[in-house]
Amino acid sequence: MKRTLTLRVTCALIALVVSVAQGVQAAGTAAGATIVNSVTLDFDIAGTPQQVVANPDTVTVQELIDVVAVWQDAANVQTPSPDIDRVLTFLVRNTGNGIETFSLGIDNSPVTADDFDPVNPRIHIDGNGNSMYDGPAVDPLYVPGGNDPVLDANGSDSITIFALNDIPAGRSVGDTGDSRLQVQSTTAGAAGAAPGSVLPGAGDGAIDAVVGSSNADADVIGSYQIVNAALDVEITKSAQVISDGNSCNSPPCSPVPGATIRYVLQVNVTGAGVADNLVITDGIPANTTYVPSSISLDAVPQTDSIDADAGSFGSGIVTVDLGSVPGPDTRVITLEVTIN
Amino acid sequence: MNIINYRKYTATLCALLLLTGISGNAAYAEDTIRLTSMARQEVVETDAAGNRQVKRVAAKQVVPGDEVIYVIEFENTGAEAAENIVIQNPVPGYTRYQAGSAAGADTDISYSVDGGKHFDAPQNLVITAADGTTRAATPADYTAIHWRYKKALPPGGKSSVEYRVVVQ
Repeated sequence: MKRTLTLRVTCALIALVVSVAQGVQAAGTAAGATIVNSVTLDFDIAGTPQQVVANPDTVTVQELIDVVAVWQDAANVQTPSPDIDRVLTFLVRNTGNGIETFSLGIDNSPVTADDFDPVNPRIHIDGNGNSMYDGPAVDPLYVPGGNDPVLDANGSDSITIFALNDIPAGRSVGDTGDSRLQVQSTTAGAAGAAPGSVLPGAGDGAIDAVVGSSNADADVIGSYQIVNAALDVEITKSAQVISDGNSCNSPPCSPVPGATIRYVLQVNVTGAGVADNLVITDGIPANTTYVPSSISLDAVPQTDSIDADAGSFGSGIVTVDLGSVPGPDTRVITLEVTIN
Repeated sequence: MNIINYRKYTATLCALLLLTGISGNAAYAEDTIRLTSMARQEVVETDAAGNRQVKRVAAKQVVPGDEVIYVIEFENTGAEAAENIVIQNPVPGYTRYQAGSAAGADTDISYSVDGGKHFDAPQNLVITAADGTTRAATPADYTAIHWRYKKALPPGGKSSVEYRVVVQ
């Protein structure tokens, strides 16, 4: 009897150690783990104590297929219209208990009440784990069936996914456009199946797979919102021969010696913000002579001296100091030269 | 009998029992009670008439979050009555005891929060934290269950107890 007691106490201690070790679990119990029930029964027969131990009752935990996808950007991603390669950031997590492969897709069709559909969708996978899009060399383009993410619920259970879209032209400030990331388990028959559906032999190591509450798929929307483009200044220059110095006094005239050329500089300030200290300079072309006092700004004549008005001329260069110009705005400068 | 040798191999024997599942029954001279643990799951079936019925089936497709019912049957297969029957069942690893689920006809049920060293009624169980503070135990703290069968089990007599766990 003493030996029996010793054996039992020692076994209880070992069982305790085992259960403590099993308690260290990050996710749910891993697929393939075995749950063992161990029962003992003590009894007396005619006053003699005895003990029986039940068959170890073993249940294997099957693979639960579950996934969640979360849009990571704190707010609508701001973009001008048009634009290219605007990035939305998503996190995909295996919330099951096994190792599962997931396919990815983007649907920009107007499922939701947005104002526009982003175009040319592409998916990139975070290659260096920094959750930031670093370009295709670091964060490779996703190829369905080629580099489907494999996520281990008991290890590296999540990955950052980038959706890159182009933004169509002609959208108004404030317009929103949605992009929907779709994630599906690649286990045959899993994605979209009812929770609790059993897929015999489809789990890790050929155990059964059970579809979880996510239906083994996830889709999540990220949004863009149109804002003013960043400040930009663009100058276009055109020229007209407005007189030939002889009989022609309205354009187009022939560019002969003595003819007058009028240059028009259109200064476009686009986007939001203010262009400070905006100074336009234009050198007089070779073989021409500046026509004195021919500078105008927005059809207002300017003097050639450096003074209170914006325009001046010196050393063969026309200078127009526009000062601070809030965008969007367009200023028009004209000046004239004669052909030598 | 060499006691030292025996102790040396006790741990190995226990490990074998745990790992390989070899029944320890052979270690005892008398084997007059057949003790069986059966893992069960409840499934809801709807018949042709649309009636929903809860059925118990062998637990096979178990995933985290599922409930498992352990049914423990004991039957006196010997020629004499068995008395002072006590059943002990550590709550299996990877699972949590379901509050209020332990049951069994003609039994007194008590619980342990220290892996089966001490058993007591729920209101007497206390958890002591690392800093020495104590709190009342909750069913989630139970690590083992203890049934004391209050009657004698005659030859051929049969009864059962059960409890439920949730897979973590």
